[in-house]
Amino acid sequence: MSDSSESVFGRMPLLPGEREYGTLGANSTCFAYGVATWCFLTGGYVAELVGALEGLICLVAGNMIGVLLASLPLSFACQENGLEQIDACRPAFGPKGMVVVLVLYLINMIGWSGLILVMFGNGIRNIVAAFGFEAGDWIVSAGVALGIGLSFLVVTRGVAMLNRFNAIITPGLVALVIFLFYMLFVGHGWEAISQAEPLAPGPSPLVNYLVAVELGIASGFSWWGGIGFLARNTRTRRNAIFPEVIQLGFSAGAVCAAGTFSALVVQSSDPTEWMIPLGGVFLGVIALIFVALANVTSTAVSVYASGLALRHLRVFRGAQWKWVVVAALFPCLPFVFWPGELSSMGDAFLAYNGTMYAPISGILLVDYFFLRRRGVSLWSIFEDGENGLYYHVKGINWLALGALLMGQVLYVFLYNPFSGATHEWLRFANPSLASFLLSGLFYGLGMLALGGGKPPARVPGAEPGGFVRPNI
Amino acid sequence: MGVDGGADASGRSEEKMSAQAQRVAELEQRIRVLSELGDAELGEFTRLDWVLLLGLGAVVPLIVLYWGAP
Repeated sequence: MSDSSESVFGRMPLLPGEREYGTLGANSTCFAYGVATWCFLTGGYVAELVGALEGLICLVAGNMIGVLLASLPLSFACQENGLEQIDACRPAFGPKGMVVVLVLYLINMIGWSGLILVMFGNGIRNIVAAFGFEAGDWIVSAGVALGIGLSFLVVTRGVAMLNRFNAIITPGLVALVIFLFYMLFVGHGWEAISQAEPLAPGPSPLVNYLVAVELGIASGFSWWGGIGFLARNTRTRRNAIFPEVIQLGFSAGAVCAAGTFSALVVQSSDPTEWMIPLGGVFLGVIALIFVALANVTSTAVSVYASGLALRHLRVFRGAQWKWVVVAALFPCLPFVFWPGELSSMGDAFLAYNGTMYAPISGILLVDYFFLRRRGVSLWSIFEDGENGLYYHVKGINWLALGALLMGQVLYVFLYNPFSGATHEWLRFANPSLASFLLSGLFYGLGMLALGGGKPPARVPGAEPGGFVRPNI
Repeated sequence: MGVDGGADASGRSEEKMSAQAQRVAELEQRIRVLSELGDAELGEFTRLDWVLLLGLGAVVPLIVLYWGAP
């Protein structure tokens, strides 16, 4: 990853012989990707609204639905064509329109990176506090800055270094989750966990539950950023989607639930405040140090993915990898200056993932399965010129952008993640699912109307090339 | 920039163009291979798979969510 060529190669459609994952590989990679420290954050946010049993249901079932809807179009498009996910969006959005998707994707990755960096800073503050030193908020800011520096060092040393870190961190995180479950069930018991009150519920239990369901589904949609990468590396269609639903959906949901239980027992949504009360000072500090290290690898994974995504932009296509990483980390700087303020918006950010990815997934599902009947032109995906089939109007499919906007408006109408305001229709329509359906339907019907009632011609993918403006 | 500098710049530009041409040639080759793949290479996905997938990922979770509502 030290030069651009490998990253550019990273966008080349992968041939079956180059794909790494069989059944075991796909499951273990999805599991390793799914079990990350952001699960604890999600679990903490849900604990603010509902109790243990409801939290478990919302997180596991919601996560599975979100992952399924995000995976359906991407897994098949990426596996069947060897594409990474931003390229898989080109037929629907156009070569310039997909920049909108790219920006939303980067917001998602940077947001998660920032939240995890703050968790890293909070962890350092709590470790110091465990030794009897009361540091001010500055130590959280310093921790975020340190985390940015460490992430830079890891990511610029390439994917091999990242894999080495993950090989240590993932089994450790599994041990940590087992440790959390053990301390919760042995130390407190299910009765205490299930009777613990939510941290900051609203007045209506039903609305709390519905918002928690939405957080679960949005959490599933937030895996959108990794789905294409995983699917294109699998050898069979089954391995492209089942491991994602089982591991990113079910297993990650269960880890999130461990976070909810811990938050309810300790009565804090900050994961770095759980370890010492649950495990005592010695084990708690060891767990905290481990969580801090895990936060660095989680951030590095996000930054690495953001760097690869930035390669889609012409300005970064030939740039040195280290500058691409700097560009990906730069938007995390506000978290150094306002860690508390920005991390307090974490639950809003989680729901915002649904706002972004639910409509995009609806559009991609209709585009890939119903309009193009799983036949896309790879030539046109890698062609930015007007001769490409997916050039639409000046490189943008305005209908897809309109459908995306419409889905986002509906989402915010039902549930505004930033103000927390909900509409009474929330009782009948989940924001992510409604947004997914509306955007997909509007886009599908609009494309049929534009085509005089006919879907775009199915392209077998083997039409002659002759690139005018290749985007590779 | 002297004569050598100009020659360097021109060399770099040619190198860049050649690398781009190589990438395009490789891309074309990959597209040809991928366009000939079928179920045998990419794995089949039967109706039973669809039933399992939609049951596991949508129907069962929706029932559980409905059941768990206060």
